[in-house]
Amino acid sequence: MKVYILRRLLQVLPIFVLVPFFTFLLVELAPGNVLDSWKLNPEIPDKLIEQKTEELGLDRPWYERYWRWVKGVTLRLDLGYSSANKRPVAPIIRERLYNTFILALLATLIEWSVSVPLGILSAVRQYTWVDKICSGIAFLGLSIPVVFLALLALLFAKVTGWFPVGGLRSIDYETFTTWGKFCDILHHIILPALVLAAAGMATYMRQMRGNLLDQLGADYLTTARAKGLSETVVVGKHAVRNAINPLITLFGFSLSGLLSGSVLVETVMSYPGLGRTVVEALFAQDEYLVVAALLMGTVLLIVGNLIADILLALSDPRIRLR
Amino acid sequence: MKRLSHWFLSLLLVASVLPSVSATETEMDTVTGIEIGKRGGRLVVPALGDPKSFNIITSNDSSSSDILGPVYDALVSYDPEKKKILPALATSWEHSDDFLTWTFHLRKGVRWNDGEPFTADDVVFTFEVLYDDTIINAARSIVEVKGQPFDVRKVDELTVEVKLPAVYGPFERAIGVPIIPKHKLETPHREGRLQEMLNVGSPPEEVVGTGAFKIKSFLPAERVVLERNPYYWKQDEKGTRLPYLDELVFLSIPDLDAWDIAFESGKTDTHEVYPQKYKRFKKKESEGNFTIYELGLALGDSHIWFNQNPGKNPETGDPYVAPHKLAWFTNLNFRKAISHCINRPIIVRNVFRGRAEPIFGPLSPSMGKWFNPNMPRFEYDLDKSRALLDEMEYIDRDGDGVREDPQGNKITFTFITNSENNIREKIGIILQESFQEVGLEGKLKRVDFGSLIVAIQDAFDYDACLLGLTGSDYPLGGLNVYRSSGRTHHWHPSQKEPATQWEARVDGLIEDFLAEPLEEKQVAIWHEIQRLYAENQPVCWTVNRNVYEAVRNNFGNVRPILPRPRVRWNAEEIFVKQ
Repeated sequence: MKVYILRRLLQVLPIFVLVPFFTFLLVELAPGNVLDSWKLNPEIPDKLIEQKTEELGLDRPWYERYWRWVKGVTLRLDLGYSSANKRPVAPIIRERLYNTFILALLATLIEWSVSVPLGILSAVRQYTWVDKICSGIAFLGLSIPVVFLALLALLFAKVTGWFPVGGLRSIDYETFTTWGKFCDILHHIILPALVLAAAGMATYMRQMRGNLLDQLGADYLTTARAKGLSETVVVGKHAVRNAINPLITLFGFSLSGLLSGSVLVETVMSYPGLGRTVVEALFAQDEYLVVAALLMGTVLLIVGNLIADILLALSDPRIRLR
Repeated sequence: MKRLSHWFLSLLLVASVLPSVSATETEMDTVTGIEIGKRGGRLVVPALGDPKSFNIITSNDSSSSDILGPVYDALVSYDPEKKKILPALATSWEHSDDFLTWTFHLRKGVRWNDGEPFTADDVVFTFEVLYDDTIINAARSIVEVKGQPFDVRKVDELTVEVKLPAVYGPFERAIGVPIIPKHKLETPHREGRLQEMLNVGSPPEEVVGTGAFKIKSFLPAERVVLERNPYYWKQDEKGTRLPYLDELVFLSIPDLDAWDIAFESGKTDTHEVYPQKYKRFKKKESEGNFTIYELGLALGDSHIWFNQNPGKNPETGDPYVAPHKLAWFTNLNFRKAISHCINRPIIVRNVFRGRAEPIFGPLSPSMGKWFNPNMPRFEYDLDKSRALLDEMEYIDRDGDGVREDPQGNKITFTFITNSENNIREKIGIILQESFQEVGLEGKLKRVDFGSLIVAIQDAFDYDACLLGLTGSDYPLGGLNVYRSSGRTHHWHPSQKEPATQWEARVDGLIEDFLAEPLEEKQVAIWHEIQRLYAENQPVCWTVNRNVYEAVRNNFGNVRPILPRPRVRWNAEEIFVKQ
């Protein structure tokens, strides 16, 4: 197992070289640069723009800047300097990554704890009203765009007053007790997490239902029933365990999927996450920040897949990791 | 260790004693004519983005200056309501008869928000930093006369003398640069760290100013909280030190639709209501306990210009603009015909629901005396537009609905606008139809912001551009739009020599303005500049929207004005009503 993990991590290295390379190339291909918004401001003198262009190396080819960045990362673990934010990239990423991570974690938790039981229920009770309602909800969740759902959630919060309208913390957060702080964050995060979970929830539910239905008709279950096992054990212990494999694989991708899905949710619901940072950095053409943020997304994708593979091996004895 | 804790304890003691320092020590400025308020509470305003820097010298984005504005003071301040210069860190000042020597008498007993005294040394240091070539800053060009710095000298602890190399007309406005603390920044400056220091990750207590507020905390992408500066030098008539508010909070909300909801749900206390949404908010005034203030026509506008750059691409040798197109664009009658065909009434009605007005010159009518009401107006008139085109023999010869010039070139051009702005896109569509009405083919092309900047400032390979510039209430900031040598003189930027006579005349008038100390004469000069612009139509202006700000009724001394920051320009006077 250890060898396997080590080998998997080694395979990742080329990705770490290629992702920044293509990001630099793409940012370079897009017209304009990080100083664009200055150029339109009549109060900013030409001299200042010239000095800054030179300082940032914007007058040099992109591969030189890429090389400079690679050297910085490998020799000094320096992720570079965000010229739009006038500060190093690392602390910006650190602040936001944590926020996005807890949002994604909660969303995953909601996804699984809702979709798996409902998927099982609608498979076991196929074509009954329970199944039909679940399917209906699933189709709704799949077809409503996330932006719309986020705005809807904001309106819901406004009309009912049950939830705060966007943000992560109340203004008085610093004066709360530890428990109060925890509750405050949970209160703020629940709505964005639900919105983020909605689409995934629907996918998982349909997957679970389909897989389980395949299994329920299988011969080994008939055998199990014939041997007198209770229906709970038949479905819970044997059928579900076989049906859940594809879901674990899906989980591996979901971590990074949540990251990209959170871009819209974070913007509309004013959530201070990484997704928003990427978009703002892209619009500002702040290349080092874009690269670092995408790299974090890549890390999540890789780690997610690794975890999924390990989980798969644990849940299915037929799979061996070598 | 013991000594350290001792030292720390005494520091704590000092910190707890100082804020109650008696007002008699400071030469207070008593604000008259305002409602007497009570201390306490907070005002929450929305912000689109985070501040990018806490360094008042090198920051030049509006999100940063929004936050830093209330933290710093200048020698003098401009009151946008009374429209006059008021004392700030200087209580009085006088000038020599030749306007070359100005003496400023500083306010006694002013303290920085960390408790240190403010003196003439801080003022001298500020200008030393601004004039330092290694420190890139945008304020420098404003505190120069003909490229020469002012000579700022300390006379005594509370007197500063400023000598000018030449008469500088806008001096009293220009001298209002934020003063920075020498005791905090001298060492970093000597070590060459000033340029990069005070990024938004630095501790808030390092941001030291004399303004009404100081930074309490910054949570990226969430909010910036400013709190009362206990040493502020203004008081009300009852002797209460301002500001009244405990806190001024900038809440980060990146989406404009979410701004609406945040205000409606009571999360924010102020909100700009766009003309399209005016009716929706007006209905909710009493229910939401707020008032919508009408502030007048916006200072900025949307306008279209044609690329009149006669240059050639240095690499390929091709002209930026095809010669036959350049001939149309540089023809004044062509541009007049364009202005006549722009259907401004429809733009006002359809895009702004009637809450906007047609504009015919470079300055907004809401600039008061600076605005010249007697300029030529090339209003919407299709007959006049067609007559002008006919007169130039731009006639539709092949009957396809599009005119050709005498050489037989079909008059067709594209105009670009940035796709991020949907108001401007709507205006663009109306312009497209307007051009069609008079037999011109002008096609709207939406491009992203980066491509737009590249086209208009580097590549120059476009026909026309629809864009807006934000204005200010004083024409000093926009000089680089009017000057022929300016980078933002977009239709023909960075000219070595003025290309046309009228541009040369404007350049001369700007020099006259800079050398004219009397405001009435400055105004007359700007009236002339506006007339020249309106006559020569380098830009065809469209409409300016009405500006509305909604503010909750439970705040006192709320007197919004048009120039930014509209509601909180007098933040130190605003208080929460009981």
